Amino acid sequence: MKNDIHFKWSILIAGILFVLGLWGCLAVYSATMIEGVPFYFAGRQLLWLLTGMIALVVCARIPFEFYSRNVMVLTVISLLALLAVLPFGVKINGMRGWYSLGYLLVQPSEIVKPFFLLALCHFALSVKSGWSRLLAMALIAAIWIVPIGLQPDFGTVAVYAAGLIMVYWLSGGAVKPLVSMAALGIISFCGVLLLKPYVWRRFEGFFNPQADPLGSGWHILQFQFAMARGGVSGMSWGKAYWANCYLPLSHSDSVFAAMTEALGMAGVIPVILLFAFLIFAFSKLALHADGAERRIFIAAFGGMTAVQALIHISVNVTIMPPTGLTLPVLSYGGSSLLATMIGAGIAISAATPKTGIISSWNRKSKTQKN
Amino acid sequence: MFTAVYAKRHLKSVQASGKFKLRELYSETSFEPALEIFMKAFESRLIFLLSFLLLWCFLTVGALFYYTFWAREAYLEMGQRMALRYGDFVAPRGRIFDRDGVLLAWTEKYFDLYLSEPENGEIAHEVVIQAVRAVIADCEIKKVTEKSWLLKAALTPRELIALEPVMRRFSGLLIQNRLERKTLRHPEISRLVGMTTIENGAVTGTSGAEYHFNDVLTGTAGTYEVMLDRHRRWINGSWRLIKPAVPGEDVTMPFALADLLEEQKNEE
Repeated sequence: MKNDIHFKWSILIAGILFVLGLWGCLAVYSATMIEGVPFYFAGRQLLWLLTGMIALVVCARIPFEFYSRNVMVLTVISLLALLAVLPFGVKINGMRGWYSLGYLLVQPSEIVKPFFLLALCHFALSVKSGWSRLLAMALIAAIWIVPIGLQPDFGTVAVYAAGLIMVYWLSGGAVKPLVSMAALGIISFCGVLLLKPYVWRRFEGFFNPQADPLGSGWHILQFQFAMARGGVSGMSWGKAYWANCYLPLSHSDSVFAAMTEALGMAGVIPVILLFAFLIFAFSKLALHADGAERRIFIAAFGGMTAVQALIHISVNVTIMPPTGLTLPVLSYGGSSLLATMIGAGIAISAATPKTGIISSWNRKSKTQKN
Repeated sequence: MFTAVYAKRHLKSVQASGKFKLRELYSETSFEPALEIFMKAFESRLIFLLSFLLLWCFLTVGALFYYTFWAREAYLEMGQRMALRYGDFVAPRGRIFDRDGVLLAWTEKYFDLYLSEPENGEIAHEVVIQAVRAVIADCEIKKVTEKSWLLKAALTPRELIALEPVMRRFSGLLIQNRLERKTLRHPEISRLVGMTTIENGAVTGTSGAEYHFNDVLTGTAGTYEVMLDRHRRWINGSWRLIKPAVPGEDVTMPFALADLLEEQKNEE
């Protein structure tokens, strides 16, 4: 019975990710087709999707105990990868966050995302609930967040912070320290606003884009115009001129608005629904998994993917200022796609039923309930 | 295994601190009740998290609805004001034939390549010219105005196709079309057919038959709509016809070229 549930939801998750990935290839094609080499980005994205699917299957086949046992090794690898990118990485769009390996650009902050959650889930359960747990988790999270903040990539930092909050919350952490930490976070953010003028300018442009339409308001206005052009039914594939000629990074950071122009509201609502269903599927898997660490990892991974998707969509529908985050699986970028697939693979592995005392206890308690 | 370790650790920490809210629910003898409490708390917290995400999702759908349906017209108009350009295109001028149907005057269209002064932050001239020379070997640089240079006049169709990717890379390059009225190379024909000038891109007769039949030869200009990119260049495929142009009518002269040539021969 448990095996059936695990198999059904795992296949569903892999299927949804593949469909979203294919949808992403079409979106990337539509957003770059006027560039002159329409299959350059879309073709690469398709290759990444196929590689990602293989990675998902491989990661799902590895027992979760392996990840759990090697969490320290994965943490050290993550730290080294994130620190080494600061002196040796290449700078793109003002961020030094990529390794250049010939024709490939690898973004370590994306790849190490699942390992971040693994470490948090592993250590969260070793410390008692309350301030000590939150502080311990914040210290562990700093291993990832500090180097990423130095790149500087504040959008990704926000996603990692969301991951930290989710793991703490799902592991039964007390509410008071969380609220205090959130207040501290807001104060720190205000400090960043004052110290970094470009972040402040983004906010100005967000609240009043018409005041500086060619400067800080440019990005916001282009999102709005692209969506308005799309309307309910869209301009159709290949007619997304706004996305091709006005929207900055229409194949990555602005892919949702680019899709809206091509397919309209009717074409992007299914994407939102698929994401919602994906998160629901992860939650279902989490509820049927054996053990707290596994449950927390599955639910937190689903939640973190949802938060990244929602931040991207919120930026694109202009209810949040631009952050430079990609839409998981759909946006162009191998690192992001691969990280999502690896994470989903580990989540499926975590949900794999195991034999032993806990599993049998779970079954017993369920039978008693029925 | 991990859950068991977790539950046991938790029990110890609860006993040590004595502050945990749910401590009364933990059993000292077995981890099972602790695990059950965790599962219940986990489920309720997961539902809370999903509800939060769902609410956020509704908010984004609401914003999407606002821009794609509710306030669409206003934003569409704002965008179009910024990107759409309307223009007239000249109707083809009618041809002039002699009595026997021999073509005496006609119009030819040419495309010239220009380079404009680079603005702040734009790519230097040398780089652009090098890129142009890679596809058009015989390009020459002639200064036309203070801020523009003619790189190649009368581009061939092959050169136009080869230039397309270069044009997309450099915003300083511009292709302009030019009309030229041609007549047969014969002094008497030139006198009879007359002269033309180009005003606002349209050919206008100034003497001879070109002047006399100007209204008949000139058609009605058409109107088009095109989308410009942020560098103010036309976007491929966005051109749309608003009103078609009506071509000028052809005119047949009362004399024959053969008669004129014979007369000339006799005179000689």
